[in-house]
Amino acid sequence: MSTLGSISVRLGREQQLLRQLNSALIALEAEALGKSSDFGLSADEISKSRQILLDFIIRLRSALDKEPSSMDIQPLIHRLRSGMKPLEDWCNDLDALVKYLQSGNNLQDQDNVLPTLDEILSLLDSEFTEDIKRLYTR
Amino acid sequence: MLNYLNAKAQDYTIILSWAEQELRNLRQSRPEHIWLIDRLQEKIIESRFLHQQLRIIARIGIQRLYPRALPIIHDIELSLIHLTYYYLPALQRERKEDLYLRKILLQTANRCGLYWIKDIAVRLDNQEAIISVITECPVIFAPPQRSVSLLDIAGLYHELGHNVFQMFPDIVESLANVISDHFTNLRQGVGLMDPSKRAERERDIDEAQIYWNADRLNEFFSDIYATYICGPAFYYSSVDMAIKLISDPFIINPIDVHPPLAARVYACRKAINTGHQDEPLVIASQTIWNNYIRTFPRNARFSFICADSLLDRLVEASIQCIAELLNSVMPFGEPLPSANDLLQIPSGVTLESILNRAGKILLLMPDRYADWEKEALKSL
Repeated sequence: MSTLGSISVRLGREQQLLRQLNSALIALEAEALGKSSDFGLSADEISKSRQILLDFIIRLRSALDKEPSSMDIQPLIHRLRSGMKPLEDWCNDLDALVKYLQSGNNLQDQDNVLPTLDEILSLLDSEFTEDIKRLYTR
Repeated sequence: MLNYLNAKAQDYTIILSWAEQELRNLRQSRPEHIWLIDRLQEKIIESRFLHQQLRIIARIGIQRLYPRALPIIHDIELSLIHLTYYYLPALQRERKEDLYLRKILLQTANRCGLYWIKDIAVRLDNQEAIISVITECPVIFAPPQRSVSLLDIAGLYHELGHNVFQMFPDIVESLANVISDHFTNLRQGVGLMDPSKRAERERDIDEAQIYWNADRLNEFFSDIYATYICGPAFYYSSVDMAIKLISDPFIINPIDVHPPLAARVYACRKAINTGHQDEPLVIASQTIWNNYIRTFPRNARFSFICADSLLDRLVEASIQCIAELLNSVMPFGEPLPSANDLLQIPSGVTLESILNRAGKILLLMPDRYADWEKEALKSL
């Protein structure tokens, strides 16, 4: 019985989500640092990136409140619920993040939201790399 | 960190160029796989884009951007693993035996509802498995004897099931809703209970709900797809697999992505088409199974996590997904011939039909099997 079939499906979905969110955060950070042109990013691409992050954070915040949530973010929800940081703090941070992303301000104006985005992407990346290790560790 | 990012950027420049050269070579030597090679080239272009992001982060050298580099590295690494562990070797080392099974699998996939499949790369050098990084062009693994024997080939329908699961993200959501409904009902149906016992029960329900994650639902669905399409032959194959693995079929293993074997065999039996309920192959397989599991006690944890009522609903939901999403595909409902006609091999016979005859001959007249199989293989 191989695990390849099911785990590779999950890895593919995790890879897609992480790539999309990481690229979106790069766009916002690049804008805040005045480096958009280095990455070849247009204003429209930055706006779309903001919307991608906003949609995801809203979905995540909603999933923390109620069940069932979409299966693709279940592992992240599980990590948030079982981590050291109280759930209430996560909810507050995500609410602040939604407000910031809706405001259109850049990250320099609202540096306090950056750690939340970093933490979420770091958790997604941890999940992703653990799954890679499960299949492919030397 | 900056040194490392520069090193990786250089590293990927070399590897991605090498991979592109390999694909250029394959374009010449494997023209029948041109569609797949084009998709692999697109994957490299995606990695090239990520590589460019990494190079810019390294060139700008602003520490605040460094955390964004690691997901890029992990992303490229996974893509390279898929390319260099699976797809490139499958194409570079393809032999006539692989091509023989590829032809059969392509016909089977298209007949069995996988209308999106454009190409399949086969590697007869491992246990049954599939990797569908490119959903339209999976790599399918099987042991080398699959090109000369029908035994166990029914297991490949399970692998095709994984590809269906990958194609339609709605499937996991449908099955997850069944899980959620089932355990929500259990939570609400408790009534008056001692607070400590209630807390314990809540923990049990949480554990059971977490157990049925996307991977296990994927494995479950793939079994049901295989039974739906391949019929009693896959049911017999699941019984055979469960017995030869020699383990307690009721064990809930938190590390294994597969549900317990007893749950899988039960679900396959449930998924058998109504027309085959009295089929001797089904009855013989079920008798073998019932005799086997009699020696294993059914533990309470299994009964809770894999309750019959839950498995029944998961089977129903899986079949509903297959019927709705693969609307051109029919369940295997062909009546199996009785003893005298069983050894005949009609022209234009499908792999599913051959495998069901094979299972029946193996169980009911095993002495006739070897000669029959040689003829059956010629018909495919």
